[in-house]
Amino acid sequence: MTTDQTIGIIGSGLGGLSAACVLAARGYRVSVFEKSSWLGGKAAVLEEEGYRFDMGPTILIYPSVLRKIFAEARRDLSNYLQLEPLEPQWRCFFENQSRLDLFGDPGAMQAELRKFAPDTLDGYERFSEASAELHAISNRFFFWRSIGGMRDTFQAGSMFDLSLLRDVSRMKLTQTVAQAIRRDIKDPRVAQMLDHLVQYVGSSPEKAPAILCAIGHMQASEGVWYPRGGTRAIPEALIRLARELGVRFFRNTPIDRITTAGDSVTGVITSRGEHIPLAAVVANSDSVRTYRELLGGKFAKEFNRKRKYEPACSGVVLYLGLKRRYEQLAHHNFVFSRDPSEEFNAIYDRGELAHDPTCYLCTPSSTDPSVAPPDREALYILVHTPYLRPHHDWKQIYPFYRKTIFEKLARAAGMRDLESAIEFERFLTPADIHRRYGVLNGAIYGIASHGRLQGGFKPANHDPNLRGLYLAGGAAHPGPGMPMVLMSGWIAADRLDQDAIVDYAAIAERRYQETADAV
Amino acid sequence: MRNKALSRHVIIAGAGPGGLAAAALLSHAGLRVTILERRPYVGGRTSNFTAGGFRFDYGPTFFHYPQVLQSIFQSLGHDLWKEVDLIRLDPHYRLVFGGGGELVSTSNIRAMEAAVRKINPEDARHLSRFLLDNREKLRKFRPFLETSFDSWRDTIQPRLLSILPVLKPWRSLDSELSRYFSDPRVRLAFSFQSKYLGMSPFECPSLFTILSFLEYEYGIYHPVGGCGSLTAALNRICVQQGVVIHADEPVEEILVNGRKAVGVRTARGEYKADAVVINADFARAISRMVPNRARRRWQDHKLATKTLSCSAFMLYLGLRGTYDRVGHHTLYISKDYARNMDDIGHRHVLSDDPSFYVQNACVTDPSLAPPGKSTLYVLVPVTHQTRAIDWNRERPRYRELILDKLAAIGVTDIRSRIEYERIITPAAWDTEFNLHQGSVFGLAHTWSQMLHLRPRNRFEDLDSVYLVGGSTHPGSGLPVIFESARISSRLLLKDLGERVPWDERSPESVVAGVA
Repeated sequence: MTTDQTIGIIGSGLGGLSAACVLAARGYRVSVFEKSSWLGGKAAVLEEEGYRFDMGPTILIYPSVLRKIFAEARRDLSNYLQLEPLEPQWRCFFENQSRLDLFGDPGAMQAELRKFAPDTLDGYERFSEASAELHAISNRFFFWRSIGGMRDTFQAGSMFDLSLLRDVSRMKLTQTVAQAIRRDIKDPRVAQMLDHLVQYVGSSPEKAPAILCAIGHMQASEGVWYPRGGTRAIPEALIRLARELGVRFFRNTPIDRITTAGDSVTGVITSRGEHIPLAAVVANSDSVRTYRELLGGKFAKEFNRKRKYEPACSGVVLYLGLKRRYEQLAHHNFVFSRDPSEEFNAIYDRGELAHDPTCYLCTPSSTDPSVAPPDREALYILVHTPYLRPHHDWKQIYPFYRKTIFEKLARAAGMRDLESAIEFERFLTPADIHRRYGVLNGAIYGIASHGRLQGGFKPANHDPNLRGLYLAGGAAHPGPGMPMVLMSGWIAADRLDQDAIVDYAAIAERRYQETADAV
Repeated sequence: MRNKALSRHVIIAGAGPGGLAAAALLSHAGLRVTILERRPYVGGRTSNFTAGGFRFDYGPTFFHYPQVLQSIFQSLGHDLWKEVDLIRLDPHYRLVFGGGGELVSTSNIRAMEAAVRKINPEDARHLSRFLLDNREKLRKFRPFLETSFDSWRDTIQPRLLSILPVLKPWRSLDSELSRYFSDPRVRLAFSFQSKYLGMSPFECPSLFTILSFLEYEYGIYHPVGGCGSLTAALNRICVQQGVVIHADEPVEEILVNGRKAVGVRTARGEYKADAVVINADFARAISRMVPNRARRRWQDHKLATKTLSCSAFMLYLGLRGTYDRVGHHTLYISKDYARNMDDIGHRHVLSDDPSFYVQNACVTDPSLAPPGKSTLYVLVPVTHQTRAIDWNRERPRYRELILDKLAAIGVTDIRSRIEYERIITPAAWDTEFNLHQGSVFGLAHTWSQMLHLRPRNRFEDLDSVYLVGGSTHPGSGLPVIFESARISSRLLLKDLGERVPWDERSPESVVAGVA
């Protein structure tokens, strides 16, 4: 047992904040080291000239994960965060001008499909059932435990458990997401809409394993939510909880090195050269770069030996303050490419920009007027691009791609006067994202979920060879997307707690005090 | 079997389930066994009483994890399933939450998920993980439940240290369950079982999540005729094997020669013995049977510092008519359960909204009452005896309060139906049943009173004395009491240089055979 019982967390992204809250709730002393001047990682906010933009994720699904984190501390999420349901969940625009709304309510969805593509009604129901089943399987075997591959899955259960074998046979290991969708859904537009559920994890539906269809049911069963104050309210709520639980935050404190002795983590060295002894480290930094840049040596070699991880996609984000609103838009909108295969092939196979890209648009002003001055809009546009390649010079590319995006929006979503409506403009290119967030090759979503067998697996949240190292974030199990990242922080913290890393007498004493206070 | 006259003689003080099981095991191994029982009948609290045609169990009414007793029966050449008519209950029980909501527990996992979903949809998703993790936990901990903890050295054996992360002594049952379930009601559904040990889920060690796991994995059974049928079956085997049983003859003193027990004294005389097994409430028995000066570790002033588990206020009701809509087992959980537990364990006062347990066994087993009538067994966990509560005064008030509260689980209009009634208060448990301070579950199962820190199976303060029952390792509850009989009998036989016949078959294979 080490003498210093503090747990260090590298990075205050949603995964790091989640781990910090869970550990503190269980009685650990926690310090969070953040390289940037703000806390919350990509869940940052841009507030200027009367406009407010969430800079990173905008769609919150599966809020039960957040509730669970607050429940660890015996707190009620609703005292920290007000969530409002969004319906329709998405509005979809197609190249041929047709429009389809995605509803959470099954009755409303049926009515919508009856108008749009009545032939798909039965198929849609079959797909929904398959998605529910894959979600249930995920719950049993992938979620809430530290898993790095199929072997861990079997160790978590018992290999001879018949129900496990039955589940394995139902995982559709031979199918991709795109195939699973198209087996049930014949209408190409409805299929394209469902394809984009895996865009939450920045991966190609044509390469991602069918188990990821679970996202469909995760969204359908719990809905899509808007936190009052925007996505930014989520890290704010977690930071508040963490502070109440005694977590200490160190901003502007990049970590250069994780120190080890033998096969145990002993602490970290900051960029100022200060050595901070720690009982364990939860790295919320990109996992591949954590091994490569913070650890190195035999641990990095072992990590790289196991498997080569491919970055997920990157993207261009535009933050536009508009003098007008577009009434045809809902809160969340997808303006789809003319051909998903062509698009995914460019981004994920060839590593080039899609000529006719899918654009995601967020226009929150109708839900939350505080994001913009009256009758104005804080428009957020995200277009997926390949992760950074050496020849991508975004200074050169960006102006041309901006034009491509605007033309697409004019053509498919009827936003003809967009250029003239702009009174405020900021943007991030993959190069900016790479610099700003310290991610792998500018990837927004950590590691790609590609490969029918391995695609569902990310690096586990613990390292079997290095005691005291835990991973959280989109580049660790169970993967990217807000609920998954929050879950990854919970798993990392829970695994640390299970591993009895810290002298438990100290923990027991603190817990006892808290119980006594509570009673 | 060898000639008993030539065999060594063991005295067993107490004919509870632990004493009877030990008697059966030891006599089967070839020893001469005499049981001396204080009360006029065998079985201890695991026995029936009959009145007005109604039959009641005094104490335990849940029987789970029959694998332990079955394995003992098998090593005696018997089959539990033939000796006792066991009915597997499904659903297990119904939980009624004072704060609203109900949960019907079943070992059909899909149905259980659906039941949890009704209370909290998010928590239902974590049920499988809870069961998987606990299957692993039991697998790792089972060897320790099946061996003795003779000294602190036994606890630092590498095997036990290696499972510390599984045992997590620094966490309570409730906090461990927070890993799986957010809703306090769902956590209670998987933690109230700590009351089988007489403990609060907020203080009970996290290890005991295996208690609820055992129910889902192996089921809950009702022995036809009540749990007294289990001790009756053991008694039959003992008699067949030539065990001499003297009821109504309490052991007054353990006779010693130096540090070694050589026999016992009762009102009728002295008995010589090569070994003495105590199956009685530990604190009470030791302070009566062994003079304080002969004790080292368990002197009176040390006993006084031990944490005791709770007591119980009991109502045994014989009723005209039946409540067919109320299931076999029902638990009412106080609206403010934490407060209720605090009242019991720390504040030592009576709650106004107490949790309680009701057995309406006639829905499964009509043999317990005359036709058209039924029995109702009501157990209210309350503080062990303290000066603050005068049960002579509280008894009528608490009876009325409980009869009113029964409406919450669907037992309405009960007063007019009562044909027979018996009440046992903590004061009566203390005086009539000789339970120290009326504590029905003995020493609390905190980590400071478990494993080697619990009174050991081989009594520390005197040679040739062994303990069985809920007071010793592994602890209270029928399955572990039977396990204690097996552990202590093994030690006794080895100390006497005798064979341990049942170890000659691998215990793992026995358990696997019936699981």
